[in-house]
Parts: sequence; C-alpha cells; structure tokens
Amino acid sequence: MKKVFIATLLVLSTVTFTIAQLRIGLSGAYSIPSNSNYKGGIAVGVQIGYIIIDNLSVEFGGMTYKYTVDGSREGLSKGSLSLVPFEFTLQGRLPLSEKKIIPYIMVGFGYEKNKFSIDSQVTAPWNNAGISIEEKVENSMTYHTGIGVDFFLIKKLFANMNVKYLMAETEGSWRQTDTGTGASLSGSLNNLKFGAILISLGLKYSF
Amino acid sequence: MKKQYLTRFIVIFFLITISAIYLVSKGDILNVKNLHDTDLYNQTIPPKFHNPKIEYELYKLIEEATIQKKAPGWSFGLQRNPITVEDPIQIIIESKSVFSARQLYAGANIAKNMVLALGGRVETTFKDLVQCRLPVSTIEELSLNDFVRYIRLPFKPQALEMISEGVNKTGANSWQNLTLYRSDGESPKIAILDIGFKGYQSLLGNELPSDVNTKSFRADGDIFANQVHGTACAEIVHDMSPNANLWLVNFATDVEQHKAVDWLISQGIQIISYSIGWENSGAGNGTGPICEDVEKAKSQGIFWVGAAGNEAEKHWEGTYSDPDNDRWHNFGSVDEILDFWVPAYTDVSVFLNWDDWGSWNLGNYSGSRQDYDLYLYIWSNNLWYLVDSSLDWQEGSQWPTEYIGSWYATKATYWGVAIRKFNATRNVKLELFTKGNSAPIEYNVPEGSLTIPADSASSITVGATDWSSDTYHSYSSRGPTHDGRVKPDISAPSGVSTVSYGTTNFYGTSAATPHVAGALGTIREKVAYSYDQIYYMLQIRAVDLGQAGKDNQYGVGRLSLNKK
Repeated sequence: MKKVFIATLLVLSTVTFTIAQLRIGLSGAYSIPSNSNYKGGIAVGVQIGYIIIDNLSVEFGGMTYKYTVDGSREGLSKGSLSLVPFEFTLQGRLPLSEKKIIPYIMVGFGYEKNKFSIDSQVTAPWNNAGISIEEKVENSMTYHTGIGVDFFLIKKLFANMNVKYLMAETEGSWRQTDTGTGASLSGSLNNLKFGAILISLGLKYSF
Repeated sequence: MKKQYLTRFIVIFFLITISAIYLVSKGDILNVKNLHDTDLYNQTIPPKFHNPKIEYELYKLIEEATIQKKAPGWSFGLQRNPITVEDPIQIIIESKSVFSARQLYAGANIAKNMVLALGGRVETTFKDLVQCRLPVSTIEELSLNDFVRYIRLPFKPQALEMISEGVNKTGANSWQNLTLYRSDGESPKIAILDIGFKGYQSLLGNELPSDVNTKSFRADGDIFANQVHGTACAEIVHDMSPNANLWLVNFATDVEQHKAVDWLISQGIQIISYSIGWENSGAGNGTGPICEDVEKAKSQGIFWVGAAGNEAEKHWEGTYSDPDNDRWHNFGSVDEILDFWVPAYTDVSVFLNWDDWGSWNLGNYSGSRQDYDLYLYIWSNNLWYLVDSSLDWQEGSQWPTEYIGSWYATKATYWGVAIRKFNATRNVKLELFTKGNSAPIEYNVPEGSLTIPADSASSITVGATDWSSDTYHSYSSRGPTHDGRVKPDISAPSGVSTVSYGTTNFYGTSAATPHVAGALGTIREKVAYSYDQIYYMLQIRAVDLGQAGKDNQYGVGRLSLNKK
C-alpha cells in the first residue's frame, strides 16, 4: 500500500511537472509573400508548446491565412489562395532577466493545406462562352526558420513576438473545358512558391 | 456448175449477212458519226467525228479559228463570251502517267518539250498536268503525241456570287472579347483562296488587317483579277477573326489551284476559306482532283471551309428516260427540253455529267463508256433553235461530262437544254447545272446540288441562311452527296454588308463560308483545342434549324459560338 502511495505521488509530481511546462497560445500575424504576384494579409493561428528544458522547447501549431493572387500566365491566375500550415517547431531558448524575457531561435517543418479559388472576373466571360476554367494547387511541405522573444506579462501569461521565413513549394494544374463537348485543355503549374515572411504577435498561457 | 454457183452464193450471202449484223449492231454510232442527224425540230445537229483526245469545247474553238466554222447560235446574233479564238489559247494537257527511273511524271516533261517545239509557252505544271498556251492550229498536232492522254480547256473556278452582320448573330463578338487564358494568343493563319482580290489595298488597316500576305498563282500573276469576290470574303474573315493573319491567294485554273494548295500547306496555314465551286470536275462522291486538294489540306490539320454552292435552283438530276425511243431524254412525260429563263446581258453555260466515272485512282477516273451528248437551245419566235452542242466522246477513258459555255444572252428569253443518248448500254443517272438563269429551272431538283468540292468528306461545307431571319436561302446548294452523305455540314449568315460590294449585300454561300472560317480562327486563337475538338464544338453549338439533327439543308444548323 505504501508502495502504491509513493508511486502515485511520483506520478502526480511528474504530471504536475509536465503540465507546468505546457503552454498554449493564440497568435496573429502579417504575411509578406516572397512572390510579388501574391499579396499577403492577416493570419491567425493556435499553438501548443512544451518546454523540454529551459533552453529547448517544441511547439505544434496551425495557422490560416490568405494570399490575393494577381495572376500570371506561368503561375496561378487571378484569385485567392488559402494556406493552412500545420507546423512542428524546435526552439532554442535563452532565458534572460530571471526568465522574464526569453529570446529564441526556431526551425521547423510542416504540412500545408492549400486551396485556390480563381477570380470570377477571369472565369465569368469564359463561362458565358461555355468554357469552364479550373485551377488546383497541391498541398505542400513547409520549412521555416526564424527568431522570436517571449515576454512574461504576469505569472503565467506571456506575450510572444516572432519573425519567421516560411518556405513552401508545390505544384498545381489547370483545366479549360468546353461544357458542351467535354473538350478540354489542361496543364501543370510547376514550382509554385508560396514562401513568406510572417511577423507574429501572440499571447500564451503557461500551465 | 450449178452447185458451184450455189456454194458461192451461200458464201457471199453469209458474208453479207455477217456484215449487215455487224453494221446494224454498230448502227447507232455509224448513223451519227457519218451522217448529219436532226433534232426534235428537224434541225441538223452536228456530226460527232472530232478527235477523241480533244475536249469538244476546245475542238469547237479550233474549228472556229481554223475553218471559221461556228456553232449555230452565232447565226442568231448570239455571242460567246469570254471565249476568244485569239492565239495562243490556254489549255491543259493531261499527259500519260509515265514514271521513268530518273524522273517522275516523265510524260509531262515530254509534253512540255512538245509544247515548246510547237511554239507554245508552258505556264505551270502539276504532276502529270501541263498548263500552257499554244497556237490553236497546233493543238491537233499535239494530240498525236503518244504521251498526251487528253487535251482540254482549264477547269474554271466559279465565284459563288455574293453576301457582316454575322459577327453578332453568331456570337463571335463575345469570343473576340475573351481575355486569353494560358495561351500566347497566336494569331491564326487563315488563307482566302479565291479568284481575285480587287481593291484589297484600299481596305488595309480598316476592313482588313493593316498587313496581309498575297500571292497569285495565275499565269499572269494578277492578284486583283478584276474580281472583288475574294476581297469581300476576306472582309468577313477579318470581321469574325480580327487578330488573324490573312493570306490572300488567287488562281484561275485547276492546275493553279493544285499548286496554290501545296504552297499554302508549306506556309503553315491553319484554315482555308474557300468560296469557290466547280462543276464537272468530280463524281460528286468526294473524289476527283479538286477534292484531292481538300483531302491533302485536311491531312495536314488544315480546316478547309468550303461553300456548298448557290446552285439549288440551277440543278436537275434524274435517270435517263426515253419512252418514245427517239434517243432524246424525256424530262417530262412528253417534254424533251428543260427550259430556264435568262435575263438579258447574262452569260449562259450548261454542264452535264452522269454516274459513270469509274474508279478514282492515281489522279484520274478510269473513265466512261456511256456516251451522252448535250444540246443548248434558245427560244425565239415561238420556236426552239439549236445554239450549240457538246459532243465529247466517252469511249472508256474520257470523263462522263459535257459542257457548253459561255454564251452571252443579248436579250431576255428562255433557253433550253436537251440530252441525247449517243451510245450507251444503260440508262445513267444524269446531273445538269445551268448558269445564267434568274429563276429556278424547269424540273428543278434542289437536292444533290452541291458543287465540287463541297462533296468532299474533308471539307467543312457551308450552306447559306439569311442573317436576320435564319431562313435557308433557296439558292443554297444542298446534299446529299452522290454517295449519300449529308451535306452541307453547317450553315452561316449571308446577305451581310461589305465595303467591297457597297450597297449590294453579299449573298450566297460565298458569304457564309468566311463566317465559319473566321469563327474557327477566333476559337483557335482563344483555345488551343485539336482540330476534332474545335470542329465538334462548332457542331454542338450550332443552332439546329430545319429537320431535327443534321440535315441536307442546314447541316447541323446555323453557325453559333454561343454556349448551349
């Protein structure tokens, strides 16, 4: 019985210790696409992180943001591109000022769900002529690196700011179909680069 | 002794009997060949004794030039126009297809040398055909050469008369405004293959692109040829496909057309607009030298858009019938002349062919052994007078055709056509085309009135509809082809405005054809679909008119680029 009690205490203390290293957060970001044909915008995301040791943590997160695409003959046409990356990040941390300010560097990878909606200005005249136009993009792997800093505001709540460069490259396809006959033309869209600089601000709660 | 006489008598009687049977069996020919015969009105019809290697129409010119013998029509003050007997005359030599080890078409080369030796001038050649000008007096001599198979006048293309409000009518305007999607918008290359482009230069930059390519395959190199027909067609193509690069190419004979088509293929032309028709130059089943040009172009991925013809009211066809056994065909139960009204100052021609072409192989038909002749009459003083005849031989190598032209009507009256069996073993199916009539001919049969090469399976053949009402124009030629295929393939607007024709609207399948050619150009510029896909689009989008589905008047319907 004693052994069981001691073991329970040990487990509880471990759990308590573990929970104390967890944090969750919300962030907003502004994305600056590397491709000049794309216009960035506001991104929002959630993260859950775990501090392994004082100088090392990991974080899982997801974001969603959109690009407005100006359109080019080789790349995507005019339209709207939705990107939802799910990322794993490793952070190297350097606690300062009694751990109130913690700058860090980060590196990571992820998987991005992409969706493109072609602008009706492009498709409408063709649709009126009986020709449908579709463009699709594939999901992609992402890689990112960046720097950031955590500021503790109150005991368990801290603010976070980071800047990261996200690399993403994928492929797409297009199809132009005569709705009456089914005749179609199609092609590939290669080397679609969805990279961006993301400047994020967020709040995180540490358990 | 008596027995000897009896034997001699029997032998002589036997020989006489055999000779008589032979002569009777050949009597049809002998009777006409050696003796002057009379027609239905006891007028003497000319005997048939000319050189079978020379086309009869050409032979008559030789007679007029050499012995001043003229067709009966001259005696009524009628004139032949524009045929002249001035030397030298333009002819086509069909040489024998002899291929030496060193040289293709060696027969043609021998014929060329012969022409030069006779003081003539070779204008152009195509395979075993030699187009040349030769003094009339030497043609008979030329025909004696073993390498000369046949000598004839050139086939002459017919500009299919006039008629673009069609741009909006067909929805081409909405296609023209489409922003390019994933294509370079390569300007389509469209050729207008026609007989003349008079006045085209003054339209550059407005009614036509600012720059066009021109080439004449005429022997005289005249791109204008005193004809605005091609210019008006080009205007419509430009209206329908404003970004297209245009090639204006003209010709005047069948040989020149063969060379023009080869050249257009070498230029990478994608669409040929062809508002031209021919008679007596093919069996009407998609074979023949003119149809071969169409097939050649199609095999290179070229859209050949051709006019159906405007002959529906100038066409008769039927099986030879002679219930009164006088050799003259009965159009009606007792009527042996088909008449048609010709206004004054109009050219008159008639073309006859029948279904005995044989097989088409190596650029020629195997030929006909059913010999029929053609006679042209004029109604004057309440009587029919013989004007002219066409007595070509059909002895096995010649084509089953007869042609009389081109007479000039100096006053408005009826003209008539009669057909006579000369030597035939079966009642053939006859087909007759007239030129010059202002109203439907008597016994008019609009069905099957396609001109050549509208019958080609490789041609996108176009009928004519009124641009405002979509009604089918009564003159627009219709199918089926002689082998039973539905034609035309599609119809398009006619009766539209052009600068070339000024206040006279541009009517006919000539006007309809460039609408389709231009529409194909616009589609091709906007979407790089294949030949079959684009053609299928055209068929699916057409506005079905007349009988449901594809029919022998409208084809699949009136041209439309609007979605269904």
